[in-house]
Amino acid sequence: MDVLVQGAITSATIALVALGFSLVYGVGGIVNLAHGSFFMIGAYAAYAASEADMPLLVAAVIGVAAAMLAGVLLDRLVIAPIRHQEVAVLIATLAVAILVQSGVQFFFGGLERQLPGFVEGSVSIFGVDLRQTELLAGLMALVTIVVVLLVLTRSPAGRMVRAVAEDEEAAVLVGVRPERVTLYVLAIGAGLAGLAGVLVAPYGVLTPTMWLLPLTQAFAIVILGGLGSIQGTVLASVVIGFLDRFVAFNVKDGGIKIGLVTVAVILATLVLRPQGLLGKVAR
Amino acid sequence: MTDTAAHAKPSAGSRAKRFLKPNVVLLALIPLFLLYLPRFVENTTLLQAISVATIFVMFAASWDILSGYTGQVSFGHAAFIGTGAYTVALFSKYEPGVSNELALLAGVLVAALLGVAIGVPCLRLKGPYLALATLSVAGALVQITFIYKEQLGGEDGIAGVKNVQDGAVTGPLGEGLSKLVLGPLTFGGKSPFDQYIYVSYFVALLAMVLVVGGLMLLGYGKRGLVLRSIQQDEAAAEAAGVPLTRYKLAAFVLSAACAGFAGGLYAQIRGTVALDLLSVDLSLLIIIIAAFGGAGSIIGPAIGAYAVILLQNYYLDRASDVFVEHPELKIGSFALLLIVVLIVAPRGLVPPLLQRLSGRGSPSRAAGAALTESA
Repeated sequence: MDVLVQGAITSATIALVALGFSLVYGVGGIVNLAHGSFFMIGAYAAYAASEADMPLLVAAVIGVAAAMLAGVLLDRLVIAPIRHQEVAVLIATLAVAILVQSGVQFFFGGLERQLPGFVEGSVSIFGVDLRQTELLAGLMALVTIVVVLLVLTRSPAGRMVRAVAEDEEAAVLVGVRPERVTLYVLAIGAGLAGLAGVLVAPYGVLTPTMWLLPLTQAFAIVILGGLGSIQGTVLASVVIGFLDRFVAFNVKDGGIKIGLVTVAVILATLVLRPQGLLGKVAR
Repeated sequence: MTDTAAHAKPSAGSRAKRFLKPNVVLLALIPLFLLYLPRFVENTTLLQAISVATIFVMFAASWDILSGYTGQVSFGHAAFIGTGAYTVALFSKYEPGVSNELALLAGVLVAALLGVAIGVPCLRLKGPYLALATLSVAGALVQITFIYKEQLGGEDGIAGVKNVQDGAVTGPLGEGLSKLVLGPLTFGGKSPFDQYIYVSYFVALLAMVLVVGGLMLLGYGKRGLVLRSIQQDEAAAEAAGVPLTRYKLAAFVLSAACAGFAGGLYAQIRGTVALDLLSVDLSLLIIIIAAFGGAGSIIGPAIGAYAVILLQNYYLDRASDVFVEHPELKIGSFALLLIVVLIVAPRGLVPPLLQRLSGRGSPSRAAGAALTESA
């Protein structure tokens, strides 16, 4: 039961991270190795704001805003000039990830930090005791994902995003500007990852290297879900999310083995089913 | 892509020849200079920093034979380095009777095995997939050190690795070279700690010459051309009869083995292993070195390593106390510098790396031509 309830929450929060990662890849063809850093920036910005005695809600907004700002800056300053050089983008975004890591280390030190819970107290769901702030995180994440999916599938803006993802040249022909769409998607993706960071901050642990696991998990999700498939991303998030909690609860020292299992999933998928669960054909 | 690949081969060949012939003498001057350097430099701290840089030359060169040549860009080279280092450290910890050289060999083997283990699933991967896969494997290895905390020490690492001076071969070899360069009397008059620094220095230098020399022979020979052709255009290379799988995997394994060797030797020189040998920081540092030195030339990253590592481990510490108190700022500054270089001069300062790695344009052209070529 623990696994089911907490797995659902973890699935929702990492889906937030993975959605942005997947969208940015689908739209701009950009693999952003600094995507996990947005998660970290969200968490640390909210932490800094709450340390400065701001109300938690304000801190949360600051966290998301900081991540979005980072996304915009990353796109305008770093990615835009080298957009079409795949490996240069990879190297530059990894450099950004390390830059952010060393910045966080410099300003906050290497010690573990934690944000106070958004709501106090605990609840019991299906016999599982849960901190209310965890439940809130899961619900918030779920609502956000539903909204994002609705926007993507039902709104003109979403149609534009999907158009660029499907065929950039055709999208240009009908008047869509791919650079603009990439910028918006990157900003929103960063915001989503930042939101995940904020939501997890009260029960997760904040360290300067916390960006790597979400990035790895987002990669696993995108690989598993199949490239460019939004449904696949959501489905794979559930798989990885439950796996995350399953390992954490049922394996000895599970907490530190999550990354290992994630990497195993990545390698196994690459060997056995490179197109992913729902993907059609590998490129 | 195809048209550049078509005329790339002959020009790459002629360049390799042109490069090799006149510069052999020049190239040999570098190790000779380093060999006699300790005679004139009394500063042992600087010598220590040079030893570390010499090790990094091997890291960078081994990265290059995989990433710069075949274009399978590894973002997790630290995985191989760390594996070699930790294997050596484990021997010191649990089987101190085993000689240093045997432990080193074991480190090479384990790293090579990891190369196979990563290389096989990565055979079909390119660009972002390969980047993320290699990055995450290195990340997973860090976690393994926490899972087997008792054996591998978690964040503390393993101390008390048997050092080069205890080696049955490396010890006498290093001491012999020290006596040769410094004179037996001068060397004998040094404190034991200083003697250790000199021995490490010469062993690292000798190992570097062997590894880099070997990789250069390979890289500038016929096999190097084949490796390059894979990067240029896999389909064309395969059509021309290159056994792709074998070459790609061989590059992976060779790169891993050399990195494991250098990592193991590094452990024996430092006397400790820790998480920095597996970290993303290290993987990125190697890419930074290659970016500044120019990938796909072996010698470029090798020279880049001296510049970057001496800056990191010696000159920055003396430039400002900030870097002593906050060592994380060093890698941060390098990362920032790398980003700026990539943006301001995507093909300017580091044309070889970007041209080769992005698979656009011909790496074998002269730098001037590469500059004007549009992507």
